[in-house]
Parts: sequence; structure tokens; C-alpha cells
Amino acid sequence: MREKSTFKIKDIVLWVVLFILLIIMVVPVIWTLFNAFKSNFDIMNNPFSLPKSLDFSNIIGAWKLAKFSVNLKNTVFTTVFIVVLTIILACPAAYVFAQLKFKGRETLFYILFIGLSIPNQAIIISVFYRMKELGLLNSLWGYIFLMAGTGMPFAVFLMRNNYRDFPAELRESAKIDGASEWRIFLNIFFPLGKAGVMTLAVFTFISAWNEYMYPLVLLISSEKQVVSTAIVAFQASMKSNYAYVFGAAVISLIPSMVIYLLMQRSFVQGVSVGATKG
Amino acid sequence: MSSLVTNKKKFQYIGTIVSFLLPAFIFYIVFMIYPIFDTFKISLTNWNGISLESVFIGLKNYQTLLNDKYFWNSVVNTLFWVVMQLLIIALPTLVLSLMITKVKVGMSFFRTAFYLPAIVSFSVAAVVWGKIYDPQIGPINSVLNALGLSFLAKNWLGDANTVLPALVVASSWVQYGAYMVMYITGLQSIDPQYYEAAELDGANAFQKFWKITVPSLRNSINVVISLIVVNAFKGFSMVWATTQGGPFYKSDLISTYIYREGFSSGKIGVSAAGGIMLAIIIVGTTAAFNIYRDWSSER
Repeated sequence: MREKSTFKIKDIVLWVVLFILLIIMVVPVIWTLFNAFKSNFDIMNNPFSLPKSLDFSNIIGAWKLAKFSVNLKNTVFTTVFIVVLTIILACPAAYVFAQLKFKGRETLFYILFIGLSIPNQAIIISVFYRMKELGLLNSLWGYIFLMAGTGMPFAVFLMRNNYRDFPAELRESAKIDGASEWRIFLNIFFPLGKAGVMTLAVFTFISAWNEYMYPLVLLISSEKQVVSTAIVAFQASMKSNYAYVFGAAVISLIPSMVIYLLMQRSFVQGVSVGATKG
Repeated sequence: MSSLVTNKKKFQYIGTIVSFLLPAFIFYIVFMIYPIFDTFKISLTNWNGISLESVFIGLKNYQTLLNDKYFWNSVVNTLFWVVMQLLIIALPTLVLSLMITKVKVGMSFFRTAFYLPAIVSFSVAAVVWGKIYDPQIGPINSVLNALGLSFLAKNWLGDANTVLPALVVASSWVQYGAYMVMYITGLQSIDPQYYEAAELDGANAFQKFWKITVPSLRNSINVVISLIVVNAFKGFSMVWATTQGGPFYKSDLISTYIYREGFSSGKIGVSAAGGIMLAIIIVGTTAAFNIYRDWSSER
């Protein structure tokens, strides 16, 4: 009996400690949300006070002043096509790596795998000057293709693990029925592996939404800027107007937050796959 | 006759495989493989980015790089940056993950909520943490002032002594969530019977952690550590979006050094050489981790 009660106290202590830690970790996010609804005066005088009312003027102000609607449109456009293109390119390749046997499979996969360790900085000079020569600076499509190409290693790796879990009999029995390889992939594996595709989509979405260096180099004109670079530029130009900066931060935070809360399962799966290499 | 049929079949099979792989590889080769070789080629020339001509100068850019004290400054800062992130993230996140898997009520709530910072982009995090460290409205200084410790309050990102640690904290804040999920997945796959057996033997929490949790989690820990190191070497956005390497190059990393040489100073060859060096460092580190992992799993 006594043992049971100490056991419970331990649980409560653990819960309370975790909760305090949680508050500390998410305070920056909450603080940003609160400040987005406060006036500049209130932020300066008492950074910790709660917002007095749901005042959207900072968010609307930042939206208008910073051309955020244009930036957001560019971000949504590029993100959607990066996600779609990545899925179209990566899934067939991943299927072949996972289910088919052929000479050179390991070598080809290794060539792709090396790409995971290549930093942006090792290709950026070439990317910038070649794009410039081809007239692709400030081109959203140039940026989309670049993101899809550099994202291939992770995407194929993730999807190969996805398709590897399916039994080989699935393909073999369809083969006996005379189905072509593409038909087997499109009609059986792609639909069955939908959860994995969702994971890939969510991950690609977040990495495209958050990408900073490539747009900084390639999408220079203010008409072509995306949210991630625009907010940093905006912040630098609004040194004293704290309220608008928080408004802008909230605008760029909301979409990823909504996606995350809706798609938590895919997130957890994707991160876990990253942990089980091989 | 039959060999002709099998040959035809073989060609068909290869053709099918190529049709599946080619689109992905075209994009990968055009946007990743070609630019690496092209950057390497540029690093061997004195090209200025504008003129049509460039002269092959061998490894001279690498020599320039290795003789530049600002490059070595960025190397030292990067090593500090990598080691600090490793210390701040690897073990504390493991302890946090362990606590989350042990909590009786609200495990999935905690996992979801603790992951929240991970979906904040580096650029937004840079803006938000820039304000947290702000000497005017920054909550850190407000708390210090309220506690009567105003002598500790400072311009965290403007002070040469605090800028790099401050950015390490901000960058780690964005990243720990992903590693937490990896740890939790690993922790959940540990057989609870091990713990029960250890409890019967009278092991305390500390012993259980070092004798059961850590060894069983060896694989996840290896992956997390290698990812922390590789991502820290790649780190750019947090620093560039806040201090651009300043003040006095005190937060300058190899990555920001490369960017500045290439895009503000116009030293394209040197920047390209730096990019190639960074790639070699990261690929080498990854290879070393893989070799170590194979070696330690064989034992």
C-alpha cells in the first residue's frame, strides 16, 4: 500500500517537471504569439504582459507593408511544386531500389546517399553563376527544380524504406498475372504506400517552407522573395517597430503549425525513418 | 533462339529500370553532382564571376584560404559551434525523451508539444531569438533586471563573448525536437523486461540509465550524434539571419565565411575552395561515423 503511494508521487513529480520544462521550451513561440497582438508601446514597456485584446493590426500592417502577400504567394507556389515534383521523381526510383534486383543497385544507391552529406555551400557558387548564365535568377521554377534535385537523396532514402516493408510476393503475383512494372508500381505499390508518400510530402513541405540559403542567393528581387528571406529583411528594416516584426513572424509561423497539428503522425513516422538507417 | 529471347527480355528489364530511375537521377545529377564538380573546377581558377576568361591557377585558392586568418577564425568558431551543440542537444534530449516515455499521463501531448519548436524555421527562429536577446525588449534582460542582476544584462548578440553561445542555444532550440522523436522511437523499442529484471536486482534509476537505456539505444544515439555534428557543420541560416558572422567575426562559421567571400567580397575562387573543403570535412566525418559504427557493432 505504502509502495503504491510513493509510486504515485514520483509520477506527479515527473509530470510537473516535464510541464515546467515544456513551458520553458515553448515560451519563445507563445511570447511571439502574444507580442503579435500587442502595441509597440506595450512590448517596449512590459515584454511579458498579456495582450489586451485580439488586435490584428500588427499582422495586417506587416502583411501590407512588407509585400507579404506577394512573398506568401511565392512561397506557396514554390512549396506546392517542390512537393509534387519530389514525389513524382522520388517514388519510382525508390520503388526500384526497394523491390527490384539489378546489377549496380548498391553503387547507384550509394551515389545518391552521398548527397545527404553535401552542404549547400559546396554547390552554391556553381548554382548561382550557371543559373545567372541561363537567365534563371529570380526564376521560381529554377528554384523549384534546384530544391527537387538537391532533395532527391533524402526523398529516395525515405521512400525506399517505405517500399521495402512490402512483401516481395505482392509484386511477384502481379507479375504472374502479366502486369508491367509501371502498372504494378502505379496500381499497387503507390496506393498502398500512401502513408509514406504523406510523410514525404509533409517533410518536403516543411523543408521547402523553411529553406533560407537558396532563396537568399537566387530569388533576389522583392517581387520574387519568399517568406523565409523576406522576414529577415523585414526585421532588419524595422529595427524599432517590434510589433510589426512579431506580426510578420506569426504570418510565417501559422501555415507550418497548422500542417504540423493536422499531420503529426506523418511527422513522427518520417523522423523515425531517419533514425533507422540501413 | 532462346538466348535471343532472354537477351531481349534482359534489355526490356534494364529499360524498365532505367525508366524508373532516370528522372530522379537527371535532377540529382544536374542540380547536385554537376555543381560539385563545377564548383571544384571554379576553385582551381582565378575567375572573377564576370569575365568570360579564367586562368587555371592550380591549388592557389586553397593556399590563400589556408593562409587567411579569418578562415582559421571561422574554423575555430565552427568547432566550438559543433561541440557546443553536441553537448547541449545529445544528452539532455535523451534525458527529456526518457522522461516523456516514462510519464503516465499525457505522453503523446508532451511529445507533440515538445516538438513544436522544430517546426519553426531557422529564419523565424532567428527573428524571434534576435528579439529574445534584444537589449531593449529582451525578456532575458528583463528577468535579470527584475532579479537585481542588471550587471549581467547585456546585448547578447552584440557582445563578442556571448554571441556564439547565444546562437548555439537558439540553433539547438530549433533542432532538438527531431532528435527527441528519434530517441523516443528507440526507447519504445527497448524490451521492458530488461528494466523489470534490473529492478528485481535492486538497480537504481541511474544504474538503469547507464546499464540498460544507453547500451540498448546505441544505434539511435549513434545516428543522433552523427546528425547533430553534420547539421552543425552545415549550419548557416541562424547565424547569417542574425549577426552575419559579427561582431568582429566572433560568430563567423565556415559556412558564413564561404558565403561572404563568394557573394560580398567577390572572391569566387576562394569561396568555391571553401565549399569544397567543407564538403570534404562533412563527408569525411560521416564516413568516420559509419566506420566507427560498423567497427563497434562487430565487437
